[in-house]
Amino acid sequence: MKQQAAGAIGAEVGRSTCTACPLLCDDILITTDGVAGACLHGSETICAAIAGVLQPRSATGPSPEAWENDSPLARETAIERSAKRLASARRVLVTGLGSATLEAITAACDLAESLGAAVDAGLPESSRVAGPTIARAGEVTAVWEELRDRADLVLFWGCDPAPSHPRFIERFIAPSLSDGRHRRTIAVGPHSVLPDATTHHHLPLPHGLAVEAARALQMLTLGRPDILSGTPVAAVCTTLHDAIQAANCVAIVTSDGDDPIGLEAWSIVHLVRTIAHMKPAFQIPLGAGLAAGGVNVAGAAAVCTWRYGAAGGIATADPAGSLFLPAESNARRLIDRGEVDAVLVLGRLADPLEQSIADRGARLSVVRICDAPEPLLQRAGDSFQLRCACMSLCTTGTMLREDGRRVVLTPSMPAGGFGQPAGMHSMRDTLIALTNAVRHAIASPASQASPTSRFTGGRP
Amino acid sequence: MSQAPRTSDAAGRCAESHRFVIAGGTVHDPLHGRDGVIADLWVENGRIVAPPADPADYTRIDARGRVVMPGGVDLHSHVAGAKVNAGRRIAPQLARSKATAAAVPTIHSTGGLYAALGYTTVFDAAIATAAAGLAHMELAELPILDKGIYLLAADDADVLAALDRARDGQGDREVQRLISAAVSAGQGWAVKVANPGGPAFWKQGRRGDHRDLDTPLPGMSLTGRMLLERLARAVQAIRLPHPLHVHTANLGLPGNWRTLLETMRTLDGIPAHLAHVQFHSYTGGDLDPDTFGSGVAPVVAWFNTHPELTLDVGQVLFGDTVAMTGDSAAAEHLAHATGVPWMSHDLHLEGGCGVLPISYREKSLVHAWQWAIGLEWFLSAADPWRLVLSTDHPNGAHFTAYPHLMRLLGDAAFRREAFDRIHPAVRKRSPLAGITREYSLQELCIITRAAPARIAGLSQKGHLGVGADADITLYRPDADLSRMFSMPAQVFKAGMLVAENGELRALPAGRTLAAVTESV
Repeated sequence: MKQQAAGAIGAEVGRSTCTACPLLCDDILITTDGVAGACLHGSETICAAIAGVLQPRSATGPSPEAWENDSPLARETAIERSAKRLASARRVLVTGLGSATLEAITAACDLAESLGAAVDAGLPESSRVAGPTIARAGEVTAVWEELRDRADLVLFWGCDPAPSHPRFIERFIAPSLSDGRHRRTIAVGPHSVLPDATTHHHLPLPHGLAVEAARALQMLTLGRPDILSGTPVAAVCTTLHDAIQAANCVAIVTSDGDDPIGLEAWSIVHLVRTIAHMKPAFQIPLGAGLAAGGVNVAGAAAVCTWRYGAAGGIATADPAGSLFLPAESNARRLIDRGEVDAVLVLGRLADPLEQSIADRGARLSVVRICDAPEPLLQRAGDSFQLRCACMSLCTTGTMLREDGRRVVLTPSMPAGGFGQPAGMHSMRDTLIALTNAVRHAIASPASQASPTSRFTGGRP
Repeated sequence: MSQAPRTSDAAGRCAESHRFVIAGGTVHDPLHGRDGVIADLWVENGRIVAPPADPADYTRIDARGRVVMPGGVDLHSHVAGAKVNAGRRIAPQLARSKATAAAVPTIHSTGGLYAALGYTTVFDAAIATAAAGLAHMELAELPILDKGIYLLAADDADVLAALDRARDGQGDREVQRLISAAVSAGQGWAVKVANPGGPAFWKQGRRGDHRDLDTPLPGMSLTGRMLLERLARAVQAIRLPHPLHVHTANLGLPGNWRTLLETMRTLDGIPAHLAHVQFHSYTGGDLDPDTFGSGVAPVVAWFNTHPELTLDVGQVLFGDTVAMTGDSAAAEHLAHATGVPWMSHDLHLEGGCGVLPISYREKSLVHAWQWAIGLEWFLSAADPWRLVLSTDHPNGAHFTAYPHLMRLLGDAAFRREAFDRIHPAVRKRSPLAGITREYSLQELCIITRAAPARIAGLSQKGHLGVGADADITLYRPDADLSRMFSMPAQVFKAGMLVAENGELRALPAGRTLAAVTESV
């Protein structure tokens, strides 16, 4: 399979939603010649997925459905052993929810509640020392189609969507406004984002001045020009202020970036609120995109919030409401500090988190459910991997695009077809089977008598 | 609180259904004229049945000395969807108290808390059509309660355009078709309009233009008044169980009683339900000689003589909560005035929502007026069958405060004590000072059960007649109505004991209530 050039489309095999990044582009065409409509990364991901699905049977039989460390294992055996390990763990972390459909996330939360596990959805707000920006200042946002159809001025605030969200500009910035007018775009920061043109300008701004610029621009918008006196951001702010004054609707595109304290996010929210009090304005906050380690981070945040009251950083999964500990109960800290001895991983995680897991070595048991046709992590300790049906090609379910819009996944290939083991289970079904096995293991006398039983302490 | 899930069949009824009789209770069943009469209730397969010829197989539940009412029906609440999730995130400090329920509880806790209070049915009153699918996923995890949603279908661009074209009876069927399709696709129970035409103004940044019902929407000849009338007629024509649910313009603004009265006049002769009228009954502003105060008198006078209208009050009670609304302009106005965190999210072509924390204080002039105005509505409206108890949860107060509100209505001395603590300027001017009416148990039963069920169009709820769902609450009689209604002795949902003395006994899945529309 290959990425297909425009205008050379072969016979249609199926339509697909690309699950390579949180844009969840739903206009992908799979043809006999390759993949049409996707970005390079999306094409590579889909082609790799197709190759995995079409993987020929080995001489000894169908592809494995599970592994213990790197040794193939029967699925039922792997589920039973995984369940026993999770049930006997001192404290379990459930993470990687962003790699799953909403339906699978729900199943993962059921499992987490059975174990009293910590849950982290992988959102930056769960890692910020100052807590979620929404609780400190709020947020004024819109779905991406509002940006496409209404915003005649777009500011890229210290961010470049292209590397993280490859088709964002093509789909939501490049099209003309709904009334046919062209929009003006300004890149503020180190990235030029787009080539200079009559409708696009780049205002260089060192990263360290972003907060100062946002605060100064807010004051200028409030009618305080004196605030600019002697500041290095005066010229940038004056240009931006003039552009905002001339616009009908302003969108400020931001990225989570490296903002561990949350000061940048706080300054932008206040700026957007001030502009929005005068004219239509909203922020378009982009997450880590391709680097997020999951394409359904918005869905994970939504389910965790209605289940536990917070979008991540859940100390103990309790449907009655859980203690939210930002920067304390996020996945990486729990693993790095050795506060968990077992982790249930859905899909692939962001590289730093995968590294943290690898660094813990045999001290951390890992149970992973993903669609990879081979074991992802070579480990010396307890490590199980359960293979599920291909997420991008064979899964039915729903996800949330990063802006909250619901996207329904329609399988373009049948699970179990094209050389996959017959009846390949979805991630959701695998989680349900694992949950049943865990409940059985918890209920068994052997588990309750174990000195490392989950009931014997170790909880925060 | 028990967390063990129970299985339920496809209809949402417990698979453990059995036969029993609730014997000798003091029954309040307003629909059938039973006002505190001793009677037996026979239950089989989740429904109330006629007394059997052979009662031998029926388990006897001794209800002597208990007050027996239908399960509560909350006609207007906010329990699911993106705005509720934002409410959970925007004020995490309000979720940390172990002494009280979180301002915006988790979906699981929401079901448990409602059931422990004796409520068995709830409607979320504002879901954008585009967000309905996700809201239903969340509501699927709401235990015990039967639940439905009202769709903000009038915010859809194609519906607005059709309403604009629907002049002089032409194009009515197109509006009906679109509304019907939206309700069907979104599995809605009713159609709500929040600030009629407001999102169109909001998205054009012309908030100042939207102070009356007669300014055309940007780019249209359609006004808010036309929108209301045409939409209400369309909802009537497709025979939804509940009439148009109206959150009218200028929520929370001084002088908005005029907007409410104009809304009522616009809907003259057309069935409609007016939501959280407390937030729309204020004097003040340029046209009123006095400052902020009560505008209830003229609007309740109209309401009392127009039986086609029903309403819920949206009572404010003092304490910390979170405000959430599909009326982004109202949320922005309040957030800008108070400086608190504010969340707004614009949906593509379909409005949006605004969310912010709020703290109601009895010594605040405005908050004390809001409290008094809500009670004035309850105590001035003549017909309890057209009025529903609500706090617009969580906007006016948490739903767990309902028992406190019921005591304020049923105990004039208790109300007087509370009145004496509020801002002195309100004590001096509020008509509430001279109102001595007390709600009887039967009237409290009407405004929490019988009326909301009838207004919602739920023929099998809100009463205890043969064929009704066996959603039944048993209370211990108590002169302290707040204590009485806070902790039912037993709560049955579809014939299953789900709560007893404040403890959950089972967590069956509830049904989704979705309207079946007539094809247009």
